[in-house]
Order: sequence, then structure tokens, then C-alpha cells
Amino acid sequence: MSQLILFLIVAALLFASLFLLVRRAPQGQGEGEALAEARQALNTLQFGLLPPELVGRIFAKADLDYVTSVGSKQIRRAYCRDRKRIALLWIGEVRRKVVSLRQFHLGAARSFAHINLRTEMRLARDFAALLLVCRFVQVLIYVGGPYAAPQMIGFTMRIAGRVCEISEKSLAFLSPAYGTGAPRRSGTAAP
Amino acid sequence: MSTLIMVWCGNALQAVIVYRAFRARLLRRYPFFYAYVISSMLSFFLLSFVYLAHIGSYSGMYAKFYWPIQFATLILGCGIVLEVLHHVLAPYPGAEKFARVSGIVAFGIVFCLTLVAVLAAPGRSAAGSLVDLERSLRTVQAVILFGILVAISYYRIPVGRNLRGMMLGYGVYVGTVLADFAIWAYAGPRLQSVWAFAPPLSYLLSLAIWLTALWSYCPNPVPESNVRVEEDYELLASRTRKALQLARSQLTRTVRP
Repeated sequence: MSQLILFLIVAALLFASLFLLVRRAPQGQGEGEALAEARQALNTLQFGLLPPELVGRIFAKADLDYVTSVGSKQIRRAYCRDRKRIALLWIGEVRRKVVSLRQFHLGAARSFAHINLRTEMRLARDFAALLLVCRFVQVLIYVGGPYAAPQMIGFTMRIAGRVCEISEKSLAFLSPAYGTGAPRRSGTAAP
Repeated sequence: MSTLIMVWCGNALQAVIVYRAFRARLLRRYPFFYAYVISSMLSFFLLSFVYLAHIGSYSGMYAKFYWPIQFATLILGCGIVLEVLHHVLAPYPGAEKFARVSGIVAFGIVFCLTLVAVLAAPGRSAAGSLVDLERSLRTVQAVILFGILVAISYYRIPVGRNLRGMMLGYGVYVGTVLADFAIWAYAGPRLQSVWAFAPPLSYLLSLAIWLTALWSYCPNPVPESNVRVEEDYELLASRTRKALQLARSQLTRTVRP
């Protein structure tokens, strides 16, 4: 029985990967453009995803307090709806940039003969974890509104902390070469 | 009777594939692939000849020829994997290394599992052992093909029509044969009447895919050389790591009160 399951799993995995192959576009669509776009995303992530002031403003509780103090429920509702939309757009943009960064990395890494498979595996895991956190925050904002995230800080921080911990451990062996500087700790990084 | 029709249809398709290979001058471009197609076509004729010449003693003479020919075509089937590695992954050394290492690891795992299975059942008949061996080789092929497909998908490597068809056709056949072996091992002759059609049918489907995909030459897209990437892998990885840290810090800031 275990043999049956094992071989059926292998066959199913093969069929799934063939399905993905069929679904893909036949050729690399605008490979150069995609890489250029990804490079732009890399720069954006490195030199400030979005201005921190803007991010702070989107999630600022003071604005909500002010609108609440005015007293109109309608205005408050409209404000929350718009702020939620903006927050969702922001997190969606973060996610897109991370995906672009991954594309850039893969687009470049595939050409290196001396590729480090361990580094690749760990980066793949980190990207997956980060995208998962992005999705989680997205769901959080979608369900609870733009101010749900700070309220559920404990849970989210544990996940984010876990991702940071895993990533830092897995990438610790990579010495910061070519004057890229010492790795900064999460939360204190600056462009 | 229906199996016989499928077999003859398969041979007709193989003949057309080989004819198209001559016409479109594909033999030189994909020698391993066509070696496999031609060998499986020749093996059919050879086995048919043996069967007809020794019709009275079918089991003895036929079986003597069947297994060596079967294993020869099975090994030649690995040529398709070589073809894919050569044409699709060669311009991308990083992805090629990824696929190669995964393939070697997969081969090691399957080899060890087979060895354990053989040692665990020492009283197994020769025919049973040959079936096990074929199943193991098919598993290795399936896993290596899967590794290549994962590398292609993960690194977003463009694949042309010819190579795509080659992988798709062979993948369909190997996957079906593997499932057939698994179900046979589990259910025995109970499901034979239903499941016996699966491998020849899948082979017919594979041949149809190959014929369509390899009707004419379609070169595999080559990577754009004018795109400047980082000159050093460590530098690239380091930059990616930095960007990841920044993205994380942005997220952490978001959820901080």
C-alpha cells in the first residue's frame, strides 16, 4: 500500500509539473523588460519601499481619533473604508515588489555556474515566508480594517519575528561582500 | 484486438515522426530523442518478428528478447532528459546545476529504496525483480523530469515548442506507466482489463504530442545577453538579502503600534 501511494505521488507530481508547463507562456515574455522592472523593484526595496512617513500616516490612529471626535458615523465609516482601501493597496504593492525582487534574483541566479544551492534554498524559503506574511497582513487588513494589525500585534509580531529569525540564521553564512555593509537588524533598517 | 490496433497506430505515428524529422532536418538537432523513437520502432518490429517466427514457443523465445529490448529502449529514453538538459538548461548554468543536483539526489534516494526492497525480499522471482527494476528506472526518470520541470518553472526559463512537446509527451507516458506499475502492484490482475489500456493509450497520446510539437524546427529561446546582471553570485545574494531585510522591516513597522 505504501508503495502504491509513493509511486502515485511521484506520478501525480510529474503530472502537476507538466500541467504547469502547458499553462506557461511558450516563451519568456520580454525577458529584458521583466529583468529591468525587477531591478527597479530591487532598488525600490533597497532605498525605501514607500516613504516611512506615508506608511506611518496610512496606519496612524490619530487620524481615526480625529474623525471619531467629529461625531458623524457616516464620515467615520467612509474614512475607514477609504483608509482600508489604501492600506490594502500598500500591502499589495509590497507583495508585488517582493515578487519582482524574487524574479530579479532568479533571473540573475540561473546564469551563475557557481550557484550556491543552499543559499538558493534558503532564499526560496525566506521569500515564501515573507510573501506569506504579506498575505497574512492583507487578510488582517481586509477582515479587521486598517487598524486591526496594531491591535493584533502580538500574533503578527510573532510571525514576523519568526521570519526574521529564520532568515537571519539562514543567511548568516553569507558574508556581506563587496562593501555592502553589515546586515542591519529588522525594524531598525534605514535606506 | 484493440491493443493491436493501438500498437499499429503507434508505429504509424512513429514512422511519421521519423519522416518529419528527415524532412525538417531535426535528426541532427535532437539525436538522442530520435534515437529513442527509432529504437522503440525497431524494437517493435524485432519483437513482432520473434513472435511470428516462434509462434509455437511464445513464452520462451519472446521473453528472452523482450527484457533486453525493453531495457535498451528504457535507457535510451533517458536521452530525452539529456536533450532537455542540453537545449533548455545549458544556457543557464545555475538552473542546470540545480536540476542536475536534484536529479542525482533523486537517483540516490530511489536507488537506495530499491536496494532495500530487493534485500527485504530475497526470494523474489527473476521476472518480478525485472519488473521492480523497470519500475525503479521509471521512477528515476519521473523524478529527474520533475526536477527539471521544477527548475524550469522556478527560474522561469523559456522553453520552445519542440522541447516543450518532448517533455510533455515523455512525461505523460512515464507518469502513466508509473501509475500503472503502482496499481498493478496493489491490485494485481483484478484491474488488468481496465488498466491495461492506459500505457499504450498514453504512448499514443505522447506520439501525437511529439508529432505536433516536432513537425518543424522551433529553436529554443536564447537568453538575452544584453541584460546586465550582477557579476558575482555572492554580491547578488547579498543584495537580495539586504532587500529582504528591508521589506521585512517595513512590514514589522506596519504592525507595530
